[in-house]
Amino acid sequence: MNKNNKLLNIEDLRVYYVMSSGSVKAVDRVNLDIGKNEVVALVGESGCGKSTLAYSILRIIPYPGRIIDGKIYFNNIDITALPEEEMRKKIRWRNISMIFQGAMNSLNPVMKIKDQLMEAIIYHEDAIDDVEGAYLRAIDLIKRVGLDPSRVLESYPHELSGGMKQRVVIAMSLLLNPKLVIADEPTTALDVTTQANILELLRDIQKEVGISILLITHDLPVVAEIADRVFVMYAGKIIEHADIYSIFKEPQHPYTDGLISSVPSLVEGKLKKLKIMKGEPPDLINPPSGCRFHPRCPYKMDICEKEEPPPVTIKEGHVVNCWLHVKR
Amino acid sequence: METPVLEVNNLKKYFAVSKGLLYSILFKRVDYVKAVDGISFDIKEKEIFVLAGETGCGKTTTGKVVLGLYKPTDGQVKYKGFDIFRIRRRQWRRIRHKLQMIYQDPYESLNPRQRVFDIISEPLRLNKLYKSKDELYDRVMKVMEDVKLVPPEDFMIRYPHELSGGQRQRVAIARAIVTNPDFIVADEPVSMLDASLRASILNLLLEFREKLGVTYLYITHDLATARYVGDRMAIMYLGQIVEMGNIDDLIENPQHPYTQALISSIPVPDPEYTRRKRRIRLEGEPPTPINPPSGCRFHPRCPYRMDICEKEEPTYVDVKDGHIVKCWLHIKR
Repeated sequence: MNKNNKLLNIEDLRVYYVMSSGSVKAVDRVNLDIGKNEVVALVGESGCGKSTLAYSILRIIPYPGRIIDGKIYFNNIDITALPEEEMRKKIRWRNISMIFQGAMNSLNPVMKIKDQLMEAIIYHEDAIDDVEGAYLRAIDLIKRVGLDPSRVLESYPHELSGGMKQRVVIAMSLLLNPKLVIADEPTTALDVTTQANILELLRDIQKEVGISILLITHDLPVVAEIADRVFVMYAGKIIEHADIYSIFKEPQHPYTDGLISSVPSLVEGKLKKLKIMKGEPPDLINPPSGCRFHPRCPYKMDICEKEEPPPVTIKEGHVVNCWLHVKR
Repeated sequence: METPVLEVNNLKKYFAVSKGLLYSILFKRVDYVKAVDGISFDIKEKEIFVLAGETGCGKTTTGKVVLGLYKPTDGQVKYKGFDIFRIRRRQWRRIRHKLQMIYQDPYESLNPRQRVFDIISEPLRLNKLYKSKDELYDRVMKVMEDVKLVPPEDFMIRYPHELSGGQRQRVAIARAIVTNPDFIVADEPVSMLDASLRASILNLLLEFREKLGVTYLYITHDLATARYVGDRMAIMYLGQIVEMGNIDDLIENPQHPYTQALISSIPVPDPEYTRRKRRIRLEGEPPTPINPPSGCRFHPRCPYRMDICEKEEPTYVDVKDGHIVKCWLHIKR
């Protein structure tokens, strides 16, 4: 049992996709924690394992993936050990909900928004009789996400714009008053003005309702806008985590540094010389030995190839896994 | 005065919306999506001109029209003084390879059944731009080295599915520059790529401007990358250009309320700055280009709307050295 009062605590989690050609080590000994009322961003490039990590929190990893070992504590309960029935009744959606990537395009096209919202309430609350109550709750939530219930509830998804659909999806994630909402790339397909509105909405809701958000994204400017803390993931491992200001101001891992210096900034324009990272992320069936970033690292040393770097605490809450920071 | 590489005058492109035979017989009319509705700009030699705007504003349609992939409904496109829709077919074929395009999605723009060598050499083969097999081979090798697909021998026998996203986009760029074009339309060339790969692709585009003197029309919704590569920029809204000018000036001193809102919405990778900045919120979302709003098309969402905005369309006003804006706020009456 872990002893701190974090909402979510992931310890040494390993999730592999086991295939005949070898295992894809999508999540490999990952530690991550989320406090109450906190927005935590999980940042990484495509294929680094960030979505798999999210799926494992809800235990909905697609076949042939499975949790090899490690613990996920939610409110000090190890949810990796819960029977599926309890997971479904007590954790999924009721305590942890998710805004899936591209979810606005997976609303049921032949069901009115009203029915899609009510369905989730009715089935999860075991309140098949209380249609009235479910309807009122749907109205409430649609208002909460800044939409007009009379316009939206009787509509089909194709009658709504992208931004409106995304708001419906956010309303859905809040249906059962969860404590943690996992948002997987919630704004990627949206235009910038809509994106800004959605980010503002997420932050307002997070503050008012007092939920925690795990934001999964590759978009650093979005992270800068709303996250409190950041975990950087590379090739299945967390390589650095810190509060939002330290990550952007004093990134310690060469990968974090490279990532931040390779993103153009609207404010700096041509004055910011973009750093170019050589190579591309490795495949996760046979990841590089030692530090997984070593083939691309500009500061590579002999030891990086041989041994995996241990976590080093730079300062309170800022931890990096890199041999450059290990005193030897 | 030197002729611009590309000159676009009052370009319009409408697409007919089919609502079925019955509808057209009963109502005797056809609706049009006015994807591009009267835009003009020119691009000077070695310039990177950015066309920016949100989904559905008509920027990609514009890019396709200037390459002759769509016939315009009205207006002119001139490449080095030649009206590309007026010159003879034979002449157009002779210069066609000087204008190229890089598409947004490298997962869809490469033929999955062709090897990299065949993909890159196809423009040369179609336009018969080589004298011998050896020359063809050498030119493909050279261009693959230029886009840093090295070693070329290794890559040229592969199929697209054996390449990563970044490598595919390099193939797409190699295919565009293999004919030594003067002008390239780059439609969101980095938006599908991971952050760590974007910078190298952008730098590649800049490099070809220096080395080969390529002029670009860079189409994007991402103003941060636009500012990194661009010289001048036009902001489009519902098929029209609402503001145009030097890119730094436009981003630092936006004049049109839409541009102001757009720029204030863009997150910046600096938490302190991005949380301090004041954001102009826009109500609603862009309306459909089938029946665009009367007068200024932005008026239903504009925070500074006046009576006249609904009634009459504003003209362009030069606010500073070629920085033009289409807004009643700037018109002295």
